[in-house]
Amino acid sequence: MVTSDMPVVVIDAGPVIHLDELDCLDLLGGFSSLLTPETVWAEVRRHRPSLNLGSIPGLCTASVTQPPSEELFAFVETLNLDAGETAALTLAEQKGAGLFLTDDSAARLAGESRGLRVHGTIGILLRSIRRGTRARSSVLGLLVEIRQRSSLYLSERLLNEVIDIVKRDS
Amino acid sequence: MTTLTIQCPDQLAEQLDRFVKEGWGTDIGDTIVEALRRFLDSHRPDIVRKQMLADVEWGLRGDE
Repeated sequence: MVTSDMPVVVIDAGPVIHLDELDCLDLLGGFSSLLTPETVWAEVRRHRPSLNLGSIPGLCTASVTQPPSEELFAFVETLNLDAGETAALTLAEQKGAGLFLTDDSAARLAGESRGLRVHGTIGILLRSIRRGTRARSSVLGLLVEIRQRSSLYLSERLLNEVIDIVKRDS
Repeated sequence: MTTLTIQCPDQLAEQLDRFVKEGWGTDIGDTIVEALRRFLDSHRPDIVRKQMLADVEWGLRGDE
């Protein structure tokens, strides 16, 4: 049940797909209310047909019944966002989400421009160190393998920079 | 101009073909160039790096 004092978290397809590829869907646990539009869930199922909603902690699907705001629509058009990203951003705006999770750089730009706090798979992986649900060494192992084990779009140079920061932070 | 030869998934190629036939793009080549331009504009390395570093900060030290 979602109550007004629970910050809603809206998730796009990317983090669900990438965390599933890494066998890390459990890392989505701990959010008070995690929602995804039905359009996004359909996109996830196209990429990961064997994935069940029940295997993602706390995730519920939601209908997006209203069109995006005029301001959001301008970003959708300019950044050429797809139906899933548009639905997720629309849901995030309509629910007053405290956090929007996406791995798409353009969707992220749109979300941030509309005042949303936006993070992605890398942030969720590192959050598990902060929350104590994964050892730092385990997360570093996932980062080292992430380009081979997942379809996350990330350059090798940037990934190495992230790995260095996580090592130095220990 | 540089000529690129690429392989494209059938479904995407069909979608592209429909898009052009419906008059949204002048021709397939121009539409691909426009799509590429938009992708590169919105996935600029400096922007992606800034986003990734924000993820690291939130992941390690942020709150919910």
